[in-house]
Amino acid sequence: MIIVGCEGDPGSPGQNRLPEDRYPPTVEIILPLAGKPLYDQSVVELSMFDDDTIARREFLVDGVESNASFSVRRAPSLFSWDASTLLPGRHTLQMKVTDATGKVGESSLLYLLRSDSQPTGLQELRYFADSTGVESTKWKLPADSTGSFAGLGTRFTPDKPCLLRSVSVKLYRKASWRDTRLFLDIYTERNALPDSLLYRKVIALRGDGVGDINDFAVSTFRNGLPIHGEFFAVVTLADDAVRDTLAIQSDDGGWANGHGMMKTLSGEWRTFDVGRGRKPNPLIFALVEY
Amino acid sequence: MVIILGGCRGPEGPAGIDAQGVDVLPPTLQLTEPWPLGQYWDRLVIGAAAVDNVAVDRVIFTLDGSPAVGPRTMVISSPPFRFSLPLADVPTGWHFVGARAYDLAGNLTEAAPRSVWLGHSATLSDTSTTIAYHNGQIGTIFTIPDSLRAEAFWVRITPAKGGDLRSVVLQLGGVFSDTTSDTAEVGVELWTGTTIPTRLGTAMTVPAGVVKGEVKPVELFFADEQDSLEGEFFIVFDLKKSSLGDTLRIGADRGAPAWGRSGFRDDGGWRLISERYGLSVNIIASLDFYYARVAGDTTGG
Repeated sequence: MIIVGCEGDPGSPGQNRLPEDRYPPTVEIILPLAGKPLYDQSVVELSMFDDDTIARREFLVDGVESNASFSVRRAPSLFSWDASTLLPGRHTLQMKVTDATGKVGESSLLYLLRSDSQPTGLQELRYFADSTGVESTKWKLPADSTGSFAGLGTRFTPDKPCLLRSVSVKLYRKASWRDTRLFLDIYTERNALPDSLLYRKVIALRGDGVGDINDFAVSTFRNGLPIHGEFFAVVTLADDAVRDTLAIQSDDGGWANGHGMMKTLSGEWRTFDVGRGRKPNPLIFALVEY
Repeated sequence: MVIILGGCRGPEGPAGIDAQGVDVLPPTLQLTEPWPLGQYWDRLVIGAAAVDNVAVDRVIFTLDGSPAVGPRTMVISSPPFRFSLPLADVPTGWHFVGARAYDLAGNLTEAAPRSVWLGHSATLSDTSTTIAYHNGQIGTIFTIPDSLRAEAFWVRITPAKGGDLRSVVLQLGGVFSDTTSDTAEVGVELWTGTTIPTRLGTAMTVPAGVVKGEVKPVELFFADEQDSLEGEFFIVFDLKKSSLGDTLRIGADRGAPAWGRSGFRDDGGWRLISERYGLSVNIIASLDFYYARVAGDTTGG
């Protein structure tokens, strides 16, 4: 009697029952913000997501599709809106996107007040959520077991060329941590990433016996730093990495506007994204003058 | 005899992707406050009820379509989904409140926006405003007494700040058996409290003969020397006559929108109209409310 046993090849994979494109696209208008004046030229920034590809975008101004007045500043999400033909008063802006399979996503209807003037004076640019009662998140630098980054920053999007007057960064440092120095760098923008260094300021943090630091550090530019287009304000450690030196604070990422940036240990900058739709924004704001 | 047994079956291949375990159901979302067409001063509280088959990831409230208002951003990542927004950075006027809810898979639901009027109480100086929580159109008429043993009806009033109630216009009518008596037919009281009346303040009666017949506007004036009203208060009105056949009729709208500020009192206590009548209507009461001149206001008026 001969008994022969062998193991055959694995069976072929089961059949997929779901299409590749399962979800409709989502789109939010990040800029302009409601309540801010709408000038002749205003920046429109979108946040879009789809599990396939977005095939079509429509800007609806007062409910009517308007292609002519939007010019691409940086594909696919940053536009310059020529609103000079709009009459003064309230207007609505809505974005509608369609993916390759025809699924449609719409942004909330944004109500804007058309101003008949150019932006003037000092304006504060900030992109982090400041929800009352919500404690900020503290990210230690240099990277330790909780992360793998070497710096944090924010992308700023002024409406037109301006002078940068000051940058404020919310820091956290325990009194028992080591003395340290940090770089506050201002970079130009290219492809939504820091490009050329415009300005570097060294900030020294020393143990002065007064306790923990949990406040904004303000850097002012006495004569103003000329800015053309978007710019970045980023914070990195100036000294060799040692533990327990500094933490930078951020919101919880729920707004997810994509203006927060992180620097990897290998030196690359990328959008600060911690997954599950969370994109934290460091608590950094800038004062610009038009 | 030779027996040969052979077996050549391999393991099963990997499973295909199934709908099981993939969350394609968006959350449900409803704004619970503010009330549509409401008037809010100095601070706006926005609340929403959001439910998902897996979990709600976040609710983003918007004012005029934007989650950022001044230095605040209205993103709530855990229940209760509620945000208290100071209005210092918001211009006076009509605005739209909206909400979006995302679940963990990224499915999205947007609530229908509500329009509200927002203002700053500091600008109210030596001026009278009309406070009303109804649409002005009679759609429902309540009768005292009725089968639910209602004794009185009330409306909750939230002025922008402290001030003086000068008059109130109610839609009243009635049938009174004894028309020769000078006994008052209708009583009007001002109560304080938070969600329901709890403490009686001023009480007055409507002179006999003023309320009679069909439901129609009746304006009642309050004495100048009464104390200023601070915070929320209630205007309560009832039938003073108890003769068989005497009835007081009170006009209400159809509840579009429903402010949730109208109630009644029965032998069980104070209740919202919706709790017993199954209606979300508003008693028609329009108040003339005076805000005193504030220090430093040098304008005329």
